[in-house]
Amino acid sequence: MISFGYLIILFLLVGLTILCFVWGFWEYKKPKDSGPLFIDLDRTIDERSARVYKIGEARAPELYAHSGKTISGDKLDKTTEWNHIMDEISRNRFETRARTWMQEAETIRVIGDVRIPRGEVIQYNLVVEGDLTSEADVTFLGGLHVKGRAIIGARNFLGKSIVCQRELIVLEDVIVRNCIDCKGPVFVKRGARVGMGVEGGGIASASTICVEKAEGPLKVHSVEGVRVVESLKEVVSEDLKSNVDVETI
Amino acid sequence: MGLESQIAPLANLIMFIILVIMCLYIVRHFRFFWNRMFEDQRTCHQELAGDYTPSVSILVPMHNEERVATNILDRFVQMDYPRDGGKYEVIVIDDGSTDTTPLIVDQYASKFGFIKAVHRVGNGGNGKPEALNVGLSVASNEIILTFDADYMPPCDCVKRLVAPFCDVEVGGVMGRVVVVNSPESFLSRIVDMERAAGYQVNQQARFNLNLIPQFGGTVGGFRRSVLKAVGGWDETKLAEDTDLTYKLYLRGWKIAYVNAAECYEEAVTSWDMRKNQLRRWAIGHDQCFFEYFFETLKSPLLTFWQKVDGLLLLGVYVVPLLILIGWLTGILTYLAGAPSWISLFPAMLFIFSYSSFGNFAVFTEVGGSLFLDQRRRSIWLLPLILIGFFANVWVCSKAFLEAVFLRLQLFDEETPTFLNRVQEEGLTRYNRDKAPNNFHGRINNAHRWDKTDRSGNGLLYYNHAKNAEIRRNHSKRS
Repeated sequence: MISFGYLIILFLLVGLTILCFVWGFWEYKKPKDSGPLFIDLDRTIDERSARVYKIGEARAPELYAHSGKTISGDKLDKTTEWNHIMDEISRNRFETRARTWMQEAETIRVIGDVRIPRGEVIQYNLVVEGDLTSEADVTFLGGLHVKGRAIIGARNFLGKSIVCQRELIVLEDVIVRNCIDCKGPVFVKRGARVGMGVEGGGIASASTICVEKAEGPLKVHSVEGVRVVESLKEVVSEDLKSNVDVETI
Repeated sequence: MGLESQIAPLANLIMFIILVIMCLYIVRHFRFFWNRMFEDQRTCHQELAGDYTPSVSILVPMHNEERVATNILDRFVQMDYPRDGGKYEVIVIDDGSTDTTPLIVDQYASKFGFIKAVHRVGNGGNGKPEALNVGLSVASNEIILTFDADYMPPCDCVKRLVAPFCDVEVGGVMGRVVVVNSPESFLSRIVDMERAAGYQVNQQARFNLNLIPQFGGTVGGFRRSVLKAVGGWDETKLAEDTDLTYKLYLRGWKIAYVNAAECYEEAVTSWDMRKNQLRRWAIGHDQCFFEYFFETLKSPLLTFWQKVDGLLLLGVYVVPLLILIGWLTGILTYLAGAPSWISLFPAMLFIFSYSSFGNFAVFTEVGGSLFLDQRRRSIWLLPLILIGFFANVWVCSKAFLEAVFLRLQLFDEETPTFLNRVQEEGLTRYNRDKAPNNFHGRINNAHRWDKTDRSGNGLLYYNHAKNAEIRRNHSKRS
């Protein structure tokens, strides 16, 4: 015999189930936001927050939160010499156990830190899963992606862009054809030029951008602010100084 | 020893394995939801969108698209991208159209220098991957983007899509797809919600968490050198987009997801079309499942979590079959009696009902995406997704079996019954000489273009939405 309590539970179950669907049918029959989600098809990205600085203009220091805070103990003692990398590449392409291998599309991936000797010409894109230091007069015909900290030596030339996950120091008279995007702070020495190619360019940072006072415009986007200084030595933190040869800065 | 006691341990094991897999998917979906709603979001070099403008070739394959061709070509004419030095070109591949599509394309090509028309007359109609490969052979620029013919990108879409390529580690990019004709039918509204969850929450979270965002076949693209290195689009795959995703990741490339690169599409409006579409996706995805499962597992280039996500992504279209098996095993064990795990029964019941009746973890993603898009009233529709879910279970389970049969080469001359049935449904045997080491089945021409009977009402619904937006803004101001 079916009890009264059992009937109530049954009705409750059926009722609640129906209730779930009632609202759906209501909205379907009398829609309040039937859509579509509105996207303005005529929108452009011209009106952006990009700020073009003439580096020569003296500016009062703006937001300058920190520099070098994210540097940890990875010193350059594990540095992979560039010649060794080239040897490895010539011996084993796609060798999975190697620290270095050649991907398709002219890209070299290096696991660990790397130091590139003075005057080297690199014909490939370079992905470094560590820190990168390039000495003076290095020519990168491809682009760079550095997961650690990057120091781009004086008078280096980059045929494409630099993407860096930590601090990036660009020394004097460096030319970057396309653009720079960095998660950490960016320090740019006097005479560096970014965005020379037909692809355009600019510097973007999720942290701060520090540039030395000089001639010429530089297009920058920074989350935490931009600072124009007389010398980068003023702003480089003690932590960073301990990791980098200060004289180069 | 009775039959019951023989069946029970086996059923017990099957149920347990399925439960573990279900739990993994549930956790995965909730993790994505949590990440999208409450954690930091990555934008992938969008600060440089507009500053970084490499040369780009846009491929638009078309097959009988007279209803929508002008919409998309107008959008590319209005696109806000520098055109100096041939750095912007649109290549329309007319893949054996029999309507007025070739005429429309030629008109635009004669009027605008950056639009190029490629007509495939004699050997056309073989499907999107083949058409795209033809386009790739014609394209000359550094970045290759693809759009389907029923898409309507906003003026900034190309700038946003190419921005991630300033990173040399990025091999591919994917934008967000938004359904424009959601009011057209009940189905298109459901598809709209699924798309919103898939992109706004799922893809964005996978990108945030450095997992495996998927290239979806359109509103996205690749570096040309990378695409050439992996052999272009695989014409033997029905989900050539998923295939490319795995090829790239297994070679060390990344795919960037750009949520801000939104683009309208026309969703399917009838259940028959939906069934065909879903079946094609499911078979194609299962092809990739067979091909890349162990490769993903062993890859030294993927992190642990990328492997986990990669494997779960590969198995997405196998889950409906698992649910079906779970239901059947449940009934069997109930009939056979299973005293050994009776204590676990409430937990099992909970997880099964949770996963079976629409997979509520996925529903959470749908709800989250509607919330983020500020379409909160649409959340009321969530329970109705169940209708689509039950259809998915049936279609995907069937598709998995088809993929297994094709993989095992059961569709052969020696098995005429299978072959006849399969040919009737549009599957034909693949020529082994063409791809001896590859997958062995392919869908015939008629089934490779799965959305050819579009209504072409996208612009109408867009104008409707635009007017509503203007009214809303006006009332806010006043």
